[in-house]
Amino acid sequence: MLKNFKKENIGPCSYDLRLKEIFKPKKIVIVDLSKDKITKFTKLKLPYILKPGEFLLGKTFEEFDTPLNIMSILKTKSTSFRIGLKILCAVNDPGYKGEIVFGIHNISNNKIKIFKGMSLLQAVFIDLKGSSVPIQTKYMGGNLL
Amino acid sequence: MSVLAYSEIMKKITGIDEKRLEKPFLILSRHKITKNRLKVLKELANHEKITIGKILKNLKQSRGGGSYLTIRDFFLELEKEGLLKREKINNKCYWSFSDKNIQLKEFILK
Repeated sequence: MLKNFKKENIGPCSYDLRLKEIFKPKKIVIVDLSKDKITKFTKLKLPYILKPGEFLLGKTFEEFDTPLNIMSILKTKSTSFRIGLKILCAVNDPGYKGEIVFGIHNISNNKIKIFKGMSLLQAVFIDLKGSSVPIQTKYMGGNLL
Repeated sequence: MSVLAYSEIMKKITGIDEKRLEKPFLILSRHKITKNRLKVLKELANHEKITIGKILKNLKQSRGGGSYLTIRDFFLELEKEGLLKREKINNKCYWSFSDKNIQLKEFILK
C-alpha cells in the first residue's frame, strides 16, 4: 500500500507523509485550463526559505499503491498551520499509484524554512464499503502536469 | 466505511500484525532490554543465523569473555522463552529468531 514508509510516522489513525522535493511554478500571463495553458514548474533545492505569500508544489517520499478497497484523505498537519503554512491536497483515490503532490502556501508574515523529510501533511486511510474502480488520472505516478 | 487505526495501518503498510507482537514484547520486557541488547537483537535480525562472536564483531564491540557471556546468557534466556533458537554447525553456535517469532524479526528490521 505504501513504499518508502517510516514505521515511526504511523500515528494513532494516520500516517505522516514526508517532503522529498519542491517545485516552483513559472510565471505565465494567464492560466487557462480550457486552452491547456498551464504553469510549468522548476525543481528547487532543499532546504528552501519560503517567503510570505509564496506558493510551491511538494512531492512526498512515500509512494502509494492504493488498493481498491481503501482510499486516503490527505490533511494538513496541525504543525503546518501553526507555523503559517497552508497545505493544499486532495483525496487519494483507490487504485492511485505514485507519490503525492500537494501545494504549500506561506500565508504567514514570516519566512519559513522548508527542508527534506519535513512532515507537512498526513494521510487518513479509510476502508471502503462496496466495490470500487481504479482511478484513471494524468497525475498518476506523481506527475506535476 | 471505517477509518483505519494504528494497528490496521501498521498491518497494511508493513504487513506486521501488532497483536502477534504483544507476547514477544511481554517476554522482552522481562529481560532488561537495554540499548545495547536492542542493538544486538537488530544485528541478529539482519541475518538468517549468526554467531554471538560475529554479532559483537559487526557491532565493533569487545569479544572478550564478559561481553560474550552477557549476550550468551541473554540469548539463552530468550531461547528458554521460545523467542530465539540455536543451531550447532562445526562446533559453532548459530543463533536466529524462532519460526514463531518472524513477525518480531520483521518489526525489528523495519
